[in-house]
Amino acid sequence: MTGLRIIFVCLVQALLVCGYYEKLDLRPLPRNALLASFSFSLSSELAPSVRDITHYGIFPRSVGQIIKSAHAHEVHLRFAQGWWDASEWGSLPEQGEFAGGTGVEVWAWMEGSELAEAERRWYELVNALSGLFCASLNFVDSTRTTINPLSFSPSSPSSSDKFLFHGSLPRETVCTENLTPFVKLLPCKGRAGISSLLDGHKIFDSKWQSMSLDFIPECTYRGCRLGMSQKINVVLDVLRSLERQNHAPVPIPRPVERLMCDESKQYHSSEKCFPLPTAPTVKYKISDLFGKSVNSKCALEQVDDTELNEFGENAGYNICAHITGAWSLSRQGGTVLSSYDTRACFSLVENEEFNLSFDTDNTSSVSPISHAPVHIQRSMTGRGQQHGGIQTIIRNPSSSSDISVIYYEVLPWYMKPYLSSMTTHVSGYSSFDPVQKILYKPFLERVRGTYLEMILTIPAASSLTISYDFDKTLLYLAEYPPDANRGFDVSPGILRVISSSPEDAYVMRTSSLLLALPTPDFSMPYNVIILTSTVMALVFGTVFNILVRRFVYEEDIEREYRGRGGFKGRLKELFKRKKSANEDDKKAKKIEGTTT
Amino acid sequence: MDEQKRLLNVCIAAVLLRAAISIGFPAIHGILDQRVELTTASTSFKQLREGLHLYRMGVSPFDGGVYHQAPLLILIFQALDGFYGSIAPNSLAINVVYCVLDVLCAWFLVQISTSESFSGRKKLDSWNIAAIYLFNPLVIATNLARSTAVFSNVLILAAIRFATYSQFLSVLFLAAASHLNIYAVYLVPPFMILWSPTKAFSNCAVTVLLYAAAFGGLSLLGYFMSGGSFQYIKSTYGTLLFFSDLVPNMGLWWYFFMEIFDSFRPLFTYIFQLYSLIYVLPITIRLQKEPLFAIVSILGVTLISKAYPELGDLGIYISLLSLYQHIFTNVRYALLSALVIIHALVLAPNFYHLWIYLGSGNANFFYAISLVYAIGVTLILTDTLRAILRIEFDGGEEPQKVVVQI
Repeated sequence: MTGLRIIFVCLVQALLVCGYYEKLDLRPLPRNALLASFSFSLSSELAPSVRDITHYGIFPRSVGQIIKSAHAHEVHLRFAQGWWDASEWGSLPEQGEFAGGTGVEVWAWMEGSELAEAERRWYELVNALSGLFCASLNFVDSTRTTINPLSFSPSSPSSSDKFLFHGSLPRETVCTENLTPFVKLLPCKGRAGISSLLDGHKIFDSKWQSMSLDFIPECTYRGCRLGMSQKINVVLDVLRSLERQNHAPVPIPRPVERLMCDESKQYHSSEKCFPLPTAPTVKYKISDLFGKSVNSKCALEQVDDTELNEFGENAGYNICAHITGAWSLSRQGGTVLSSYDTRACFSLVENEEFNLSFDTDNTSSVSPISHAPVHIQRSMTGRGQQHGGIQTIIRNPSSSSDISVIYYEVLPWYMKPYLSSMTTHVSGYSSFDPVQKILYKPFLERVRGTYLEMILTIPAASSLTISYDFDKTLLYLAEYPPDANRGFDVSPGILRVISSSPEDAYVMRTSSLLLALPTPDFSMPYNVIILTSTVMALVFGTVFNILVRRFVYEEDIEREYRGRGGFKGRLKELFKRKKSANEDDKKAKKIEGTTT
Repeated sequence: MDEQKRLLNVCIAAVLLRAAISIGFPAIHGILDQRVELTTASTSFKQLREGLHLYRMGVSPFDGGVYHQAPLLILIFQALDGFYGSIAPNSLAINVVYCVLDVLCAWFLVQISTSESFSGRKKLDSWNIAAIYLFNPLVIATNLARSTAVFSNVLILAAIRFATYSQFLSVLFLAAASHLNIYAVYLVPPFMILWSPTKAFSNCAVTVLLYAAAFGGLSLLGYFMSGGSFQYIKSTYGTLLFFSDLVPNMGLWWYFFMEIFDSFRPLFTYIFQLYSLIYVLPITIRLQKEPLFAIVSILGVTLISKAYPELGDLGIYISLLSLYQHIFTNVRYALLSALVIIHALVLAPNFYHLWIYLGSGNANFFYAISLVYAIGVTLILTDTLRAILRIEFDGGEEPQKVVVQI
């Protein structure tokens, strides 16, 4: 249903001279968290094909040209940090489609007549994007690239001559240097509209945040255009943000008189305090959380006013708050589009600041949370730095229906998994084989990582445990990062629910893993070279010393040396010996001759 | 035939010991297989199983970094698996095969000791020789770790055993051993002397051609196994040549190549390979009257000079030395070298544990012990080389006289 709607919206938009719209959804979550979902989408002007686009309009020309010159068909970028607490916050926003794994992730469908050509273009693309987004995407080399994984399907109709490449950098720290280029791609560049709230200090001071960029060609009978959708999802810790706003930039312990204690505990006294999970009363404004209020409306925004959303109200909202009856909102500036108990939407007005305040006596009352159709957790087992194991537990919380998933995992080459050691176990079933299909390409040192993709079936209300062993290897000295003992990051695994209807689709990622490898002594190169060479020379010297010299009785040494005038004399002796040997031969031959 | 009876008893005791350990401690195979001192990338049983698993899945085991062993081994174990149904390291089939291989090794050693090259020499009783091999802790540990080096060892011993009886068989055995363990190629020059004692050119040429043909035939096996490509050469022999799988072991290579500066790595790879090769011809030439001892000495040198050495090699080397009782009187540093080797063998696992598991030591500890081990092996090597040349000098007729080398 949603899919059809998206197509419908696209069609409507294609007919209009539509360009840009932006939305912000604010959704209080339990324990004083607030999910803010920023969404921006825009598209270029029409052209006969994507390759022919020369007038980009408000579409960022820098990206357009990169995509054109690298022959990319569809490009997706994800930047994420933090951990999404599915048990508290429910399923990921928009079914996880726009949430990334820890670090940076990029995948693209590349055009090319053959794989090698497409691969060359892929490296060209990631290098260009690296410069544009100030991310280390140029480190996406063959060891971090996977070709044609099953887990991703294109958003645009894709023909068979396109190759899918996927790369991820789990170690990349996402920060303001990535946000600044992100905001710069927007037509109002953060000066007006909801993008004016995007301040790095506030966005990255969050429990979880994910930025996504998707560049997708949209083709209709009238021509093609490049569409771009940018999204930021942030889970803010409201209390922490307020604390920073009001007091010190560095959180300090609360003074005793401001502690919130659960007074119902029997041991509660002036000395003993059982902390309450969260403050029940809270009051904050947008400007408290983001540091400033929304600065006017982005004048470039063009929204179709006639379109209606599923609530039967005008879809052209800018800011919506998803709340319950326990909350009261008050706005400053802007206009109200709709106001219900569960949802209130506002649109911005040009040259007018907008601020919204939230007030409640019961922070635990939040709008209903949809539960994720699957849970996954992945961890390392074993101890020591020689070998270890990976254990992945995938749980199907549904009590009635089985679930079918694709699990995709890429391991760095310095982790050597043993597929033969893989065991699967489904709780409650003794002999149930959950593995429908397994795709595996073993690692190759310094060339590519291990690629593992599995199609799994998990019965209702049970959990699947997959575990396998791996060996750790040593690296060359120069391959260790400066903080080698911190460990090496392993990319998050990606779990995609296979479903026929788009509503049931769901994607989620595991957290990244930290792999501790054995390290050498980094100060030793010269010592090792010297010591090893010494031992080798010792072996060589003694063995050859024994092999090349001849044996003499000690008592005969003097006789051996007597009459030999040093080097010259020895040479003479050598010649003499040869001569006499020749004579001996001749004599022997003669004797032979005579006897025969 | 008291002698024969004793030999039989030794073999039975060895088999019982192995069976008892295997039954009593079923987990010991996995534990020993993980010891870096006992198995390496070219002999690990776990990696062999992984290779077989991938081969069965239809994924080429040679297109990846996990399997670096010979293609023939996959076929052997696939046949074993097909026949018995399990190749778990403590399954009955694997137990039987490894026990048989060890007993075969001992039997070949006994056969070699009774061959004509040792006639008229002072030598140990055959049951002694068998016991020295079968009850050597290094051999037992290698066997229980299910190291595939056992296969190449038995082939090398078979090649020696048949060298003077059946040239043809000997050549085939050596070719098979070289297929499993490329360092066996180093043994070709001394074997040439064994195969054609008259040094007739035609005879030499025939044996070399036969050897090359057998080796090529086995290589073709790998060609067909990996679906018509020579990819396996890169993963099987290329790993040894270029030392791409960096794992600690008792050799000199791993720490050196870990620490060496990138730009020098290719140069030193050539130098190290050349270093292991350079002993072959001089030893063969000097010991042309004792080609068997040349083989033993070359095995001794490769103990320390090869890329992925393991302690099982030392077990074989010591067993082969036990055939030469007549040189023992001329060995000067027996106690010292034994102590150095024992010192290294005791400390190596401890230092490895300190480095990898406890974190209270670093890589230098284990590296230092691998140097000590190399020195210990050198002591044995040079001492025995000197002893055999001393015997060759005067036939051991005047042991009381002091000799020097000039």
